[in-house]
Amino acid sequence: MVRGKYYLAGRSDFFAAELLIKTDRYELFVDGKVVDFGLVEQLSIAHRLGHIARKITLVNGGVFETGDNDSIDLIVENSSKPPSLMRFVYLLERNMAWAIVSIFITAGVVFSGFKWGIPAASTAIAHSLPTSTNQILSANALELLDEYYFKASRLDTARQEKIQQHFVNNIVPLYQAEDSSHFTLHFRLWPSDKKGGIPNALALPSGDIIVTDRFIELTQSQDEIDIVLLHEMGHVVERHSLERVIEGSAVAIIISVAFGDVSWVADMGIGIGSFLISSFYSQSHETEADKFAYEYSLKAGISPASLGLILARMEHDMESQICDKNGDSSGCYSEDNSDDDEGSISAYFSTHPSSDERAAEGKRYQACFEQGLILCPNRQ
Amino acid sequence: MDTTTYSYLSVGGAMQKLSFEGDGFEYFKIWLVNILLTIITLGIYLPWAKVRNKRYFYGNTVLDKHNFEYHATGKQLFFGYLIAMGVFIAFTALSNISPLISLVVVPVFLFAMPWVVWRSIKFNNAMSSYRNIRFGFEGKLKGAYIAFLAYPIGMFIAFATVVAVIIALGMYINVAMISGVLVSILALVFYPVYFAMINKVSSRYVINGSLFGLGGFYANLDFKTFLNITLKGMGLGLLVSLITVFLGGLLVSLTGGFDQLSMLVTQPDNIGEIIGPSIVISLVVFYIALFLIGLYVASYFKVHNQIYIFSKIGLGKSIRFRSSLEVNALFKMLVTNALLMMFTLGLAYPWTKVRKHRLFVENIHVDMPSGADGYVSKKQEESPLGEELGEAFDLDIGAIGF
Repeated sequence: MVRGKYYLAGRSDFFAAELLIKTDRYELFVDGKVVDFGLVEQLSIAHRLGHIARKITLVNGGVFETGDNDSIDLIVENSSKPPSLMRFVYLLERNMAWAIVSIFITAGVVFSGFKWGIPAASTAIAHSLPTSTNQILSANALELLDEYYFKASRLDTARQEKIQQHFVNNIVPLYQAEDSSHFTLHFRLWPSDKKGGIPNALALPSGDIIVTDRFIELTQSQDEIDIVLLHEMGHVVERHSLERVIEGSAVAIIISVAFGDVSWVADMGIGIGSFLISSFYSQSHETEADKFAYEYSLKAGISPASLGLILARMEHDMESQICDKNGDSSGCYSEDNSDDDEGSISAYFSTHPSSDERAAEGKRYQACFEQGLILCPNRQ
Repeated sequence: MDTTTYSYLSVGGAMQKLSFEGDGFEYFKIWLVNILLTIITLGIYLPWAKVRNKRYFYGNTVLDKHNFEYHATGKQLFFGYLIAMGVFIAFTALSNISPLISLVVVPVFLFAMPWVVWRSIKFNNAMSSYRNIRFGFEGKLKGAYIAFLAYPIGMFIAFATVVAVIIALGMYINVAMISGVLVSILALVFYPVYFAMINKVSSRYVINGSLFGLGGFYANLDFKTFLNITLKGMGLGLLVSLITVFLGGLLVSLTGGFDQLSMLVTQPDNIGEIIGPSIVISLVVFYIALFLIGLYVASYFKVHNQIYIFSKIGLGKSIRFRSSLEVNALFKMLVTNALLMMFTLGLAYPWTKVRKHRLFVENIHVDMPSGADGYVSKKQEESPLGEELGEAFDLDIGAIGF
């Protein structure tokens, strides 16, 4: 005998009632009188959820409601109906061990999904899209940069011409592929407080590569210019901008699905999380572009160590701008004039703690280069 | 069936408080299993997860010893969910690829939005019940377009027209200075007026269209009260922010942080090396202060709106409502929830949700002089498409707070 309330179909009035089960038949009593009876399998019994009151809808539309969930579970178990999937879900929810297992499985899937799943998927998608997507992505980008950041280059034209010629004749032909992107080199001044401007090199998905005056000033050899240009070409060839767009969308979609109704309070935490995730992705893009640059540098006879050298010098240049401004050298790197290649490579990468791998790769390719190899075998 | 022969269990009478009987730990396990199954099924389980979620919160919300109920099934939500997901993914990807495309897509969405909201309310109400009586919604689609499209856009156009006229006149009679000041003042006045008006119009539409069985909800809302609340909240926020910005600026300039900040703008990649510990601390303090102010002002708006709206809602002939929510209580809850989320890396989410729901629900009082007896359900079936679209795009039209 299960005690509960009986509502008439579609009405809010209710009566104290009792449900009696006899094998496959039921009888519903109000005040000791049978008000409804029939086969148990005709009852539509709500799935159990926590300890909320259970509703059983009768054929006549009336509803029997009870807090005695366990008795109803017994009825459900003994009935001839096949067990519902939701019954299984409830058993999962009730079991603490399962909950703990869920945490680990969830954490594992989420972690590996973000670490490998999304990058792999976005790489696949990015490379299956037509080249024109890259053009759409960077439409007007150079114009915008020119308007807000850059000024016309002040390098003398002869030097520009020489670098341009070398790029077109010696560097671009290194990369040959059927969808061969169209690379164009641009010279610009990126002004900053210090004269000379900001040293940088950047690539747009369209194949436009921009080098700043300060960057050219800082380079000490043709190798250094070449390897940075190769690195930027790597970003274009690997379609990193497109990948970043896809990764960003994927992260946004997943987060909004997982935390569908978060308030803006929690949004803050999620924002920090997705920022960390996307910087992780851009780190791996840098590694990929490095690899591209190293591999082609070996073919062209460019010293792979040049990349670490010029990056370290650019870094140092930015540092000194800050230190000059603050007028104190605390926290700034002191000038070390050592010509030790290895020292400089690690100097740059050590300021980027997650870049140990990049530094190691640099050393590996440099070793191959010194042995005169054109291909560098992977470490075993 | 002769009802008079049964003993009547009717309760009722004085003011009743809603209560929430859910438990953070119990919900934690439900939440975890939802996530687990959603992941394992690659998202297919999501509509069922949503149903269990909603059922848990509705089912544990109790008034006068009876709980609320959510009746939609996962199957019902599934197709709407598929369409919504498709639209959502396409939209996110498109707007990421080209701002130009989103320029075209956004107006389309803007125009579809009132329809989505309308379907969403209709479906949600029809799927909710209390004491075996379904809620419902009889607001017209036209009303949704008026409340969610005509009013917002109309007010913007009116504002823009006035601004254009002032600027044109200012240029014509050569008093650009004065017209500039006038425009700024106008903008300052426009924002609270806009906010209050939208609040009033959308709350009115949602409440007055809602049904409980055959009985209708109604609320006679007053623009002046909404404006009053908005002005007070904004004034409060502005005042405290100014003080904080002043103190914060003082702190940062004392630690020499502005030079570092300007470097940061030109070299965002070198964030680690540029920023010294002093500026980090003052920035963090400053950020937290602004965050707390934002939270407090948001609590102020939410609570005062809720108190006012509930004081005006009626149902049928005699049922009245009251909210006893307090700004400090909501603020305290939001702050502790944020801390809980931070220190548990999001694992405390179920508890924060239960705490939030409990605070809102347990401050709602219902006056039922003759109980909820005698209500009769109205038969209705709704397509869940709008509901799922609404959920996917996070359209919050929560005029009533839960």
